[in-house]
Amino acid sequence: MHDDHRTSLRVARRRLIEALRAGEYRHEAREALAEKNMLAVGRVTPEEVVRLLRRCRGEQHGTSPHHADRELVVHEFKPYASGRKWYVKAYFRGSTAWFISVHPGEE
Amino acid sequence: MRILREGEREEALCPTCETWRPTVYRYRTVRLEESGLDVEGVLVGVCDACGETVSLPPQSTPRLREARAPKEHVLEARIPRHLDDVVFVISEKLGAPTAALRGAIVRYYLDEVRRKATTARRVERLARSELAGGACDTRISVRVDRSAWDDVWAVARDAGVRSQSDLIRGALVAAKEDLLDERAKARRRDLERLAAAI
Repeated sequence: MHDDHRTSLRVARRRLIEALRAGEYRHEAREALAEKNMLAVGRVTPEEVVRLLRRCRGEQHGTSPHHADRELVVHEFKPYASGRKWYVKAYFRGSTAWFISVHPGEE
Repeated sequence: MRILREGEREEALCPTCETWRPTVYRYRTVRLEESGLDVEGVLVGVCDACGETVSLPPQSTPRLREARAPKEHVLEARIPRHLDDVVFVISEKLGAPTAALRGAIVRYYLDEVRRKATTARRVERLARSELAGGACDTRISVRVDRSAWDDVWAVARDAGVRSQSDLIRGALVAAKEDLLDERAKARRRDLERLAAAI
């Protein structure tokens, strides 16, 4: 793993945790909101998302451009917790974090 | 957390327009497709250009959560009428309205059960006492926090409590001993404070 990648994970995780703690975040409206963004509907708490982010190791983090704005970097965290892989997808715009997904995988 | 008001403006990446758009916060009905549940009065960001709902702030989450899973559990029990008289006598003694105090007393003892296994065992024993017996010809209903109730019931069941009605009957007999027989000064002070806040 490159140092850049490790730094990217550390920085993104720290910013996301800060945003969760400060309540400085928004959710993208999306289909299947209750299933795909469990944070938005209160099925998981911000504290639980912080714990998930902390479990995330380097190889469980990746980035990709947002489909509607290629300049936006979407961070995808895929930590394991309670025997399941979780997906946390979010990006930043200024000091605000935007959540796209927070849900466990099928496996 | 900054609390947003209706009419405030921000920007969001609109999935319909596929670009950043100015948005305005409005209270709307949000449909949770999986359950078909319509949740009224949810603050959302609305795209200025297309009028679609494009964002949700964190302050809207508790409303969505409560609509999906009510936070309250309604605890219902049949009790003998003389136990309801106990509540009336306590209300008079503490100078609080009976209807409100009844729920407060039950919730107070449920919290005691949750925190102390000794209280759970005491309530179980008192539910089998003579004072708790007799024809259960009146019904009481108390709203309690659902997650707290799950914890209370787990502790009560471990202590041998067989039903919600037994739990309430035992709690009311405990209240009678603590307040009318003056067995527990600390509890009496707690309940006096509760009564004063009603």
